Amino acid sequence: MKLSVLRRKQRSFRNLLRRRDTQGLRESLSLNLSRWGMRRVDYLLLRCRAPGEEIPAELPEVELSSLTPEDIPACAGIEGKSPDVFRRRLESGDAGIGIRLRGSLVGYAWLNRREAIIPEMNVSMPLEENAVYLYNGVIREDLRLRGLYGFFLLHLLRDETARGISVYAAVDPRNRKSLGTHLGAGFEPVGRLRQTRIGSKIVFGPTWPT
Amino acid sequence: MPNPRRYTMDNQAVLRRIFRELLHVSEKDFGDNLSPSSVPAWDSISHLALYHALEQEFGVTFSIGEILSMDSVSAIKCFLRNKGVEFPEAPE
Repeated sequence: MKLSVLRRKQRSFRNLLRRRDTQGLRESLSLNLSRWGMRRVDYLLLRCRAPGEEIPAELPEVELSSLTPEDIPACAGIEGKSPDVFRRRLESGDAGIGIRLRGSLVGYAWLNRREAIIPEMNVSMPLEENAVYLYNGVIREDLRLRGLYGFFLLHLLRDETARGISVYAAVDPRNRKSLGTHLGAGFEPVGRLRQTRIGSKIVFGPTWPT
Repeated sequence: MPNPRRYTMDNQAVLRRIFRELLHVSEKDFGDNLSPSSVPAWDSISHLALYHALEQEFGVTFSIGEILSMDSVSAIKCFLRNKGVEFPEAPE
């Protein structure tokens, strides 16, 4: 694609954004982006203010507790990430919650009380007061879809919302199991995080109600 | 200690109903090979609801090892049989 065409498209996006013309933005982005050498990624932004009560949050011999520096090697082993990633999160003040089966760490998730960050999209969004962003929830691969993450979500949502705190999460809607688990636990879609990239450059990354 | 349902002709029907109500599996699609990978609605939350429904309907209690090993209808039937709940044997 010619650079001049690219710049014109970018100006068009910016004008639509300035006018808060969300319908225009949707239509602009619904063009066949691959034809323009662009890639589009959408995440659903979910929020829970009142969790579902009909599912009992019970799993024998499974406990939830805060992650400590001693848990970092186990976290790194579960997801295959560098221990530095988890160390930095703890140092930044994010809260890690460990999911433990008979005392062994089999999963975890993280809470950020300042902003919602989706590293895959390089997008961040400030949180409202009394809100928390849930991210990087992971269960050991051989134990997925066995109720462990659902158990964690139900407890988290009931604890946080009982204190008047809204819980946000961003889910790739192509991951149907993750989406189903979040919706089943009481999350509702409140927006869409959309990003359009041209190569490594981010053209556009807004949030708007679905 | 719960009193398990030893045998009724309806055990298979109860299992079918649980799968229909919780996981939206139709009568014609129900079978021993159903698993989380083949049932779109069988996610982590549904698994919690599933094992609670099984415990209530059949009057049994599952261990955490059994809950974490429930990865198909045939596995569920196996655990229920071990607790005295009978199902017709699958045809050879």
